[in-house]
Amino acid sequence: MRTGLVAVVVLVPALALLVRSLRMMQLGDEAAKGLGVRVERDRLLLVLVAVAFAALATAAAGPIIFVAFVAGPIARRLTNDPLAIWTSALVGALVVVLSDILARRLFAPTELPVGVITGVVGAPYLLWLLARTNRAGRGG
Amino acid sequence: MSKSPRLPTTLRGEDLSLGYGGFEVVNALSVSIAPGKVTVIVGPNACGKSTLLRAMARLLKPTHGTVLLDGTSIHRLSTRDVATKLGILPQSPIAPEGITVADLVGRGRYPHQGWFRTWTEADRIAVDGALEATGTLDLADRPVDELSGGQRQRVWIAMTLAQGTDLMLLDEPTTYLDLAHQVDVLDLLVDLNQREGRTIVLVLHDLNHACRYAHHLIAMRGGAIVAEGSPDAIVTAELITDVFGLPCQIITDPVSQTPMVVPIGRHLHVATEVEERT
Repeated sequence: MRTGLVAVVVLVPALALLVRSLRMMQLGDEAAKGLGVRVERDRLLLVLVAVAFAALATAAAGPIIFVAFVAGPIARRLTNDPLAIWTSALVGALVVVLSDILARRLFAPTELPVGVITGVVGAPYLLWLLARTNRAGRGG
Repeated sequence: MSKSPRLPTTLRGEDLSLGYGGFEVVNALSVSIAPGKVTVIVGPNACGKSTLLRAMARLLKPTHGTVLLDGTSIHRLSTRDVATKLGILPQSPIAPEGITVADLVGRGRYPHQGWFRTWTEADRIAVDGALEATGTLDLADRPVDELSGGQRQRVWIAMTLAQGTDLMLLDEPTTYLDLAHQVDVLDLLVDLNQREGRTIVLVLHDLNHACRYAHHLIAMRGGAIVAEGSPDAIVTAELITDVFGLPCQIITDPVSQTPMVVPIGRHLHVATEVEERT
Protein backbone atom coordinates (compact mmCIF):
# COMPACT_ATOMS: atom_id res chain seq x y z
CA MET A 1 0.00 0.00 0.00
CA ARG A 2 2.80 2.39 0.92
CA THR A 3 4.57 1.73 -2.37
CA GLY A 4 1.41 2.62 -4.29
CA LEU A 5 1.22 5.89 -2.41
CA VAL A 6 4.83 6.74 -3.27
CA ALA A 7 4.08 6.07 -6.91
CA VAL A 8 1.09 8.37 -6.95
CA VAL A 9 2.60 11.19 -4.93
CA VAL A 10 6.11 11.31 -6.40
CA LEU A 11 6.30 9.49 -9.69
CA VAL A 12 3.03 10.41 -11.36
CA PRO A 13 3.64 14.18 -11.12
CA ALA A 14 7.25 13.67 -12.25
CA LEU A 15 6.05 11.76 -15.27
CA ALA A 16 3.37 14.37 -15.96
CA LEU A 17 6.10 17.00 -16.21
CA LEU A 18 8.25 14.85 -18.49
CA VAL A 19 5.58 13.65 -20.90
CA ARG A 20 5.81 16.83 -22.95
CA SER A 21 9.51 16.29 -23.58
CA LEU A 22 8.94 12.64 -24.42
CA ARG A 23 6.35 13.68 -26.99
CA MET A 24 8.96 15.89 -28.66
CA MET A 25 11.66 13.22 -28.47
CA GLN A 26 9.44 11.01 -30.61
CA LEU A 27 10.43 13.29 -33.50
CA GLY A 28 14.09 12.36 -33.07
CA ASP A 29 16.74 13.91 -30.84
CA GLU A 30 17.74 16.66 -33.25
CA ALA A 31 14.21 17.83 -33.98
CA ALA A 32 13.44 17.77 -30.26
CA LYS A 33 16.52 19.85 -29.45
CA GLY A 34 15.64 22.26 -32.21
CA LEU A 35 12.24 22.72 -30.58
CA GLY A 36 13.81 23.57 -27.25
CA VAL A 37 13.88 20.25 -25.38
CA ARG A 38 16.84 19.49 -23.11
CA VAL A 39 17.07 16.01 -24.54
CA GLU A 40 19.94 14.52 -22.50
CA ARG A 41 18.67 15.74 -19.16
CA ASP A 42 15.04 14.80 -19.79
CA ARG A 43 15.92 11.37 -21.17
CA LEU A 44 17.91 10.61 -18.02
CA LEU A 45 15.02 11.73 -15.83
CA LEU A 46 12.57 9.65 -17.87
CA VAL A 47 14.73 6.55 -17.49
CA LEU A 48 14.92 7.13 -13.72
CA VAL A 49 11.14 7.53 -13.47
CA ALA A 50 10.56 4.45 -15.62
CA VAL A 51 12.94 2.32 -13.54
CA ALA A 52 11.31 3.55 -10.32
CA PHE A 53 7.85 2.69 -11.65
CA ALA A 54 8.97 -0.78 -12.74
CA ALA A 55 10.70 -1.36 -9.41
CA LEU A 56 7.64 -0.34 -7.41
CA ALA A 57 5.30 -2.45 -9.51
CA THR A 58 7.58 -5.47 -9.20
CA ALA A 59 8.00 -4.93 -5.48
CA ALA A 60 4.24 -4.83 -5.06
CA ALA A 61 3.13 -7.63 -7.37
CA GLY A 62 6.19 -9.65 -8.32
CA PRO A 63 7.39 -10.00 -11.91
CA ILE A 64 4.50 -10.23 -14.37
CA ILE A 65 5.60 -10.62 -17.96
CA PHE A 66 4.35 -8.92 -21.13
CA VAL A 67 2.16 -6.28 -19.45
CA ALA A 68 4.05 -3.15 -20.48
CA PHE A 69 4.58 -4.71 -23.84
CA VAL A 70 0.87 -5.21 -24.58
CA ALA A 71 -0.49 -2.11 -22.82
CA GLY A 72 1.27 0.57 -24.89
CA PRO A 73 0.20 -0.54 -28.37
CA ILE A 74 -3.38 -1.25 -27.26
CA ALA A 75 -3.63 2.21 -25.67
CA ARG A 76 -2.24 3.89 -28.77
CA ARG A 77 -4.80 2.11 -30.88
CA LEU A 78 -7.65 3.05 -28.53
CA THR A 79 -6.78 6.73 -28.39
CA ASN A 80 -5.15 7.46 -31.76
CA ASP A 81 -2.47 9.24 -29.76
CA PRO A 82 1.10 8.20 -30.64
CA LEU A 83 2.14 8.44 -26.99
CA ALA A 84 -0.95 7.71 -24.80
CA ILE A 85 0.95 7.41 -21.50
CA TRP A 86 -2.00 7.54 -19.12
CA THR A 87 -4.20 5.28 -21.21
CA SER A 88 -1.30 2.81 -21.32
CA ALA A 89 -1.17 2.82 -17.52
CA LEU A 90 -4.90 2.14 -17.27
CA VAL A 91 -4.83 -0.56 -19.95
CA GLY A 92 -1.89 -2.19 -18.15
CA ALA A 93 -3.79 -2.20 -14.87
CA LEU A 94 -6.85 -3.63 -16.57
CA VAL A 95 -4.83 -6.38 -18.25
CA VAL A 96 -3.33 -7.40 -14.91
CA VAL A 97 -6.66 -7.40 -13.07
CA LEU A 98 -8.42 -9.42 -15.79
CA SER A 99 -5.51 -11.86 -15.99
CA ASP A 100 -5.57 -12.23 -12.23
CA ILE A 101 -9.27 -13.09 -12.25
CA LEU A 102 -8.69 -15.65 -15.02
CA ALA A 103 -5.68 -17.10 -13.23
CA ARG A 104 -7.72 -17.65 -10.07
CA ARG A 105 -10.88 -18.97 -11.70
CA LEU A 106 -9.74 -20.93 -14.74
CA PHE A 107 -8.61 -24.08 -12.93
CA ALA A 108 -10.10 -23.36 -9.52
CA PRO A 109 -9.38 -24.44 -6.86
CA THR A 110 -5.84 -24.47 -8.39
CA GLU A 111 -4.57 -20.91 -8.78
CA LEU A 112 -2.18 -20.18 -11.65
CA PRO A 113 0.41 -17.40 -11.45
CA VAL A 114 -0.84 -14.22 -13.19
CA GLY A 115 2.23 -14.25 -15.41
CA VAL A 116 1.05 -17.44 -17.09
CA ILE A 117 -2.08 -15.69 -18.36
CA THR A 118 -0.35 -12.47 -19.44
CA GLY A 119 2.28 -14.62 -21.16
CA VAL A 120 -0.34 -16.66 -23.02
CA VAL A 121 -1.93 -13.43 -24.26
CA GLY A 122 1.33 -11.53 -24.78
CA ALA A 123 3.38 -14.09 -26.71
CA PRO A 124 1.03 -14.43 -29.69
CA TYR A 125 0.65 -10.68 -29.69
CA LEU A 126 4.44 -10.33 -29.92
CA LEU A 127 4.51 -12.70 -32.89
CA TRP A 128 1.70 -10.84 -34.60
CA LEU A 129 3.44 -7.50 -34.00
CA LEU A 130 6.71 -8.80 -35.43
CA ALA A 131 4.95 -10.13 -38.52
CA ARG A 132 3.13 -6.85 -39.01
CA THR A 133 6.16 -4.57 -38.63
CA ASN A 134 8.07 -6.80 -41.03
CA ARG A 135 5.36 -6.40 -43.61
CA ALA A 136 5.23 -2.65 -43.12
CA GLY A 137 9.01 -2.53 -43.55
CA ARG A 138 9.47 -0.89 -40.18
CA GLY A 139 11.04 -3.83 -38.39
CA GLY A 140 14.11 -3.42 -36.28
CA MET B 1 1.26 35.10 -39.60
CA SER B 2 2.06 38.66 -40.63
CA LYS B 3 5.26 39.85 -39.09
CA SER B 4 5.45 43.34 -37.74
CA PRO B 5 8.54 45.13 -39.01
CA ARG B 6 11.29 44.71 -36.48
CA LEU B 7 14.96 43.99 -36.51
CA PRO B 8 15.51 40.54 -37.96
CA THR B 9 17.36 37.99 -35.85
CA THR B 10 21.07 37.80 -36.62
CA LEU B 11 23.22 34.68 -36.62
CA ARG B 12 26.99 34.54 -36.77
CA GLY B 13 29.63 31.91 -36.29
CA GLU B 14 33.01 33.08 -35.05
CA ASP B 15 36.20 31.10 -35.40
CA LEU B 16 34.31 27.80 -35.28
CA SER B 17 36.05 24.48 -34.98
CA LEU B 18 33.66 21.56 -35.18
CA GLY B 19 34.08 17.84 -35.00
CA TYR B 20 32.87 14.54 -33.69
CA GLY B 21 34.81 12.65 -31.03
CA GLY B 22 38.23 14.16 -31.70
CA PHE B 23 37.86 14.12 -35.48
CA GLU B 24 37.81 17.69 -36.73
CA VAL B 25 35.48 18.45 -39.63
CA VAL B 26 35.54 22.26 -39.63
CA ASN B 27 38.52 24.34 -38.57
CA ALA B 28 38.47 28.03 -37.58
CA LEU B 29 35.55 29.03 -39.77
CA SER B 30 33.70 32.33 -39.45
CA VAL B 31 30.41 32.98 -41.16
CA SER B 32 27.65 35.55 -41.00
CA ILE B 33 24.09 34.80 -42.09
CA ALA B 34 22.50 37.66 -44.02
CA PRO B 35 19.28 38.64 -42.21
CA GLY B 36 16.10 38.51 -44.29
CA LYS B 37 17.80 36.65 -47.12
CA VAL B 38 17.96 33.11 -48.46
CA THR B 39 21.40 31.62 -47.89
CA VAL B 40 22.35 28.31 -49.49
CA ILE B 41 25.34 26.23 -48.44
CA VAL B 42 26.79 23.90 -51.08
CA GLY B 43 29.78 21.62 -51.21
CA PRO B 44 30.79 18.02 -51.83
CA ASN B 45 29.82 15.21 -49.46
CA ALA B 46 31.58 15.35 -46.10
CA CYS B 47 32.71 18.96 -46.59
CA GLY B 48 31.19 19.94 -43.25
CA LYS B 49 28.11 21.81 -44.49
CA SER B 50 25.61 19.85 -42.40
CA THR B 51 27.99 19.99 -39.47
CA LEU B 52 28.14 23.77 -39.78
CA LEU B 53 24.35 24.00 -39.97
CA ARG B 54 23.99 21.80 -36.88
CA ALA B 55 26.44 23.93 -34.94
CA MET B 56 24.65 27.13 -35.96
CA ALA B 57 21.43 25.60 -34.57
CA ARG B 58 23.06 24.59 -31.28
CA LEU B 59 22.71 20.89 -32.04
CA LEU B 60 26.48 20.52 -31.94
CA LYS B 61 28.80 22.20 -29.46
CA PRO B 62 31.87 23.70 -31.13
CA THR B 63 35.25 22.51 -29.89
CA HIS B 64 36.41 26.08 -30.38
CA GLY B 65 34.76 29.39 -31.22
CA THR B 66 31.17 30.43 -30.71
CA VAL B 67 27.85 30.97 -32.44
CA LEU B 68 26.18 34.31 -31.76
CA LEU B 69 22.41 34.60 -31.95
CA ASP B 70 21.42 38.27 -31.82
CA GLY B 71 24.88 38.95 -30.48
CA THR B 72 24.69 36.51 -27.55
CA SER B 73 26.56 33.22 -27.43
CA ILE B 74 24.05 30.53 -28.31
CA HIS B 75 25.43 28.23 -25.62
CA ARG B 76 24.66 30.75 -22.94
CA LEU B 77 21.02 30.97 -23.95
CA SER B 78 18.48 28.45 -22.73
CA THR B 79 17.43 25.78 -25.20
CA ARG B 80 13.97 27.27 -25.18
CA ASP B 81 15.15 30.83 -25.90
CA VAL B 82 17.06 29.53 -28.89
CA ALA B 83 13.98 27.63 -30.07
CA THR B 84 11.86 30.78 -30.11
CA LYS B 85 14.31 32.55 -32.42
CA LEU B 86 15.73 29.80 -34.56
CA GLY B 87 14.03 26.76 -36.07
CA ILE B 88 15.87 23.83 -37.59
CA LEU B 89 14.59 21.03 -39.75
CA PRO B 90 17.13 18.20 -39.46
CA GLN B 91 17.88 15.85 -42.32
CA SER B 92 15.69 12.96 -41.24
CA PRO B 93 13.19 13.76 -38.53
CA ILE B 94 10.93 10.91 -37.36
CA ALA B 95 7.16 10.95 -37.63
CA PRO B 96 5.75 8.85 -34.76
CA GLU B 97 3.53 6.04 -36.00
CA GLY B 98 -0.06 7.13 -36.49
CA ILE B 99 0.51 10.85 -35.82
CA THR B 100 -1.78 13.20 -37.73
CA VAL B 101 -0.59 16.21 -39.69
CA ALA B 102 -2.25 18.68 -37.32
CA ASP B 103 -0.68 16.98 -34.28
CA LEU B 104 2.78 17.01 -35.84
CA VAL B 105 2.57 20.65 -36.89
CA GLY B 106 1.21 21.52 -33.45
CA ARG B 107 4.38 20.14 -31.88
CA GLY B 108 6.21 23.06 -33.44
CA ARG B 109 4.56 25.19 -30.75
CA TYR B 110 6.47 23.47 -27.94
CA PRO B 111 8.84 26.35 -27.14
CA HIS B 112 5.88 28.70 -26.70
CA GLN B 113 4.04 26.54 -24.19
CA GLY B 114 4.44 26.31 -20.43
CA TRP B 115 4.88 23.26 -18.20
CA PHE B 116 1.19 22.54 -18.19
CA ARG B 117 0.77 22.52 -21.93
CA THR B 118 -1.94 25.02 -22.53
CA TRP B 119 -3.10 25.38 -26.09
CA THR B 120 -3.69 29.07 -26.71
CA GLU B 121 -5.34 31.04 -29.45
CA ALA B 122 -1.88 32.11 -30.61
CA ASP B 123 -0.94 28.44 -31.06
CA ARG B 124 -4.03 27.75 -33.09
CA ILE B 125 -3.41 30.77 -35.33
CA ALA B 126 0.25 29.79 -35.83
CA VAL B 127 -0.63 26.19 -36.74
CA ASP B 128 -3.45 27.17 -39.09
CA GLY B 129 -1.18 29.75 -40.70
CA ALA B 130 1.59 27.18 -41.16
CA LEU B 131 -0.79 24.65 -42.71
CA GLU B 132 -2.21 27.32 -44.97
CA ALA B 133 1.21 28.63 -46.07
CA THR B 134 2.45 25.15 -46.94
CA GLY B 135 -0.76 24.09 -48.68
CA THR B 136 -1.38 21.26 -46.22
CA LEU B 137 -4.57 22.55 -44.62
CA ASP B 138 -6.70 19.88 -46.29
CA LEU B 139 -4.32 17.17 -45.02
CA ALA B 140 -4.67 18.27 -41.37
CA ASP B 141 -6.51 15.16 -40.18
CA ARG B 142 -4.57 12.63 -42.24
CA PRO B 143 -1.93 10.37 -40.68
CA VAL B 144 1.56 11.45 -41.76
CA ASP B 145 2.46 7.80 -42.64
CA GLU B 146 -0.03 7.90 -45.49
CA LEU B 147 1.37 10.98 -47.23
CA SER B 148 3.67 11.11 -50.24
CA GLY B 149 7.29 12.23 -49.82
CA GLY B 150 6.55 15.70 -51.13
CA GLN B 151 3.54 16.17 -48.88
CA ARG B 152 5.49 14.89 -45.90
CA GLN B 153 8.29 17.38 -46.49
CA ARG B 154 5.70 20.18 -46.64
CA VAL B 155 4.31 19.02 -43.31
CA TRP B 156 7.76 19.09 -41.69
CA ILE B 157 8.31 22.58 -43.04
CA ALA B 158 4.90 23.53 -41.64
CA MET B 159 6.03 22.29 -38.23
CA THR B 160 9.17 24.41 -38.37
CA LEU B 161 7.04 27.31 -39.57
CA ALA B 162 4.59 26.93 -36.67
CA GLN B 163 7.56 27.40 -34.38
CA GLY B 164 7.30 31.02 -35.49
CA THR B 165 11.00 31.84 -35.67
CA ASP B 166 12.60 34.58 -37.79
CA LEU B 167 15.34 32.18 -38.74
CA MET B 168 14.78 28.82 -40.38
CA LEU B 169 17.61 26.36 -41.01
CA LEU B 170 16.91 23.38 -43.25
CA ASP B 171 19.28 20.50 -43.92
CA GLU B 172 18.78 19.16 -47.45
CA PRO B 173 15.00 19.66 -47.52
CA THR B 174 14.76 18.46 -51.13
CA THR B 175 16.56 15.13 -50.81
CA TYR B 176 14.50 12.10 -51.94
CA LEU B 177 11.97 14.32 -53.73
CA ASP B 178 11.35 14.24 -57.47
CA LEU B 179 12.21 17.35 -59.48
CA ALA B 180 8.70 18.84 -59.42
CA HIS B 181 8.50 18.49 -55.65
CA GLN B 182 12.02 19.87 -55.21
CA VAL B 183 11.05 23.04 -57.06
CA ASP B 184 7.79 23.10 -55.12
CA VAL B 185 9.57 23.01 -51.73
CA LEU B 186 12.12 25.64 -52.78
CA ASP B 187 9.39 27.94 -54.12
CA LEU B 188 7.58 27.55 -50.82
CA LEU B 189 10.69 28.59 -48.89
CA VAL B 190 11.18 31.64 -51.12
CA ASP B 191 7.51 32.53 -50.53
CA LEU B 192 8.14 32.45 -46.79
CA ASN B 193 11.19 34.63 -47.24
CA GLN B 194 9.42 37.18 -49.44
CA ARG B 195 6.07 37.32 -47.69
CA GLU B 196 7.22 37.16 -44.10
CA GLY B 197 10.81 38.30 -44.31
CA ARG B 198 12.11 35.13 -42.71
CA THR B 199 15.82 34.44 -42.89
CA ILE B 200 16.33 31.05 -44.50
CA VAL B 201 19.47 28.93 -44.55
CA LEU B 202 19.53 25.78 -46.65
CA VAL B 203 21.96 23.01 -47.34
CA LEU B 204 21.40 21.89 -50.94
CA HIS B 205 23.05 19.41 -53.28
CA ASP B 206 21.73 20.70 -56.57
CA LEU B 207 23.97 23.57 -57.69
CA ASN B 208 21.51 24.89 -60.24
CA HIS B 209 18.79 25.11 -57.64
CA ALA B 210 21.26 26.75 -55.29
CA CYS B 211 22.16 29.39 -57.92
CA ARG B 212 18.53 30.00 -58.69
CA TYR B 213 17.18 30.33 -55.15
CA ALA B 214 20.06 31.76 -53.13
CA HIS B 215 20.56 35.44 -52.46
CA HIS B 216 23.78 34.44 -50.83
CA LEU B 217 25.72 31.31 -51.74
CA ILE B 218 28.33 29.70 -49.52
CA ALA B 219 30.63 27.14 -51.16
CA MET B 220 32.48 24.84 -48.79
CA ARG B 221 35.23 22.29 -49.24
CA GLY B 222 37.21 20.36 -46.64
CA GLY B 223 35.61 22.19 -43.73
CA ALA B 224 36.36 25.69 -44.99
CA ILE B 225 34.47 28.32 -46.95
CA VAL B 226 36.03 28.58 -50.41
CA ALA B 227 33.82 31.38 -51.72
CA GLU B 228 30.68 33.24 -50.75
CA GLY B 229 28.55 35.91 -52.31
CA SER B 230 25.70 36.20 -54.78
CA PRO B 231 25.66 33.25 -57.21
CA ASP B 232 26.16 35.67 -60.14
CA ALA B 233 29.32 37.01 -58.59
CA ILE B 234 31.02 33.84 -57.46
CA VAL B 235 29.95 30.88 -59.59
CA THR B 236 32.58 30.23 -62.22
CA ALA B 237 33.83 27.06 -63.86
CA GLU B 238 37.06 27.41 -61.86
CA LEU B 239 35.21 27.59 -58.57
CA ILE B 240 33.08 24.52 -59.28
CA THR B 241 36.11 22.57 -60.48
CA ASP B 242 37.97 23.67 -57.39
CA VAL B 243 35.18 22.84 -54.94
CA PHE B 244 33.76 19.66 -56.44
CA GLY B 245 36.70 18.47 -58.54
CA LEU B 246 34.29 18.47 -61.46
CA PRO B 247 35.21 20.01 -64.83
CA CYS B 248 32.22 21.97 -66.08
CA GLN B 249 30.95 24.88 -68.09
CA ILE B 250 28.84 27.69 -66.74
CA ILE B 251 26.00 28.94 -68.91
CA THR B 252 23.13 31.27 -68.11
CA ASP B 253 19.95 29.60 -66.93
CA PRO B 254 17.50 30.54 -69.72
CA VAL B 255 14.65 30.88 -67.23
CA SER B 256 16.13 32.62 -64.22
CA GLN B 257 19.21 34.24 -65.81
CA THR B 258 21.31 32.80 -62.98
CA PRO B 259 24.47 30.73 -63.48
CA MET B 260 23.85 27.14 -64.53
CA VAL B 261 26.43 24.41 -64.12
CA VAL B 262 26.83 21.97 -66.98
CA PRO B 263 29.12 19.13 -65.89
CA ILE B 264 31.65 17.66 -68.29
CA GLY B 265 31.71 13.91 -67.77
CA ARG B 266 33.89 11.34 -69.52
CA HIS B 267 31.32 10.10 -72.01
CA LEU B 268 30.80 13.05 -74.31
CA HIS B 269 30.87 10.83 -77.38
CA VAL B 270 27.34 9.68 -76.57
CA ALA B 271 25.97 13.10 -77.52
CA THR B 272 28.34 13.48 -80.48
CA GLU B 273 27.26 10.17 -81.98
CA VAL B 274 23.62 11.15 -81.78
CA GLU B 275 24.40 14.44 -83.49
CA GLU B 276 26.21 12.71 -86.33
CA ARG B 277 23.24 10.50 -87.02
CA THR B 278 20.78 13.38 -87.33
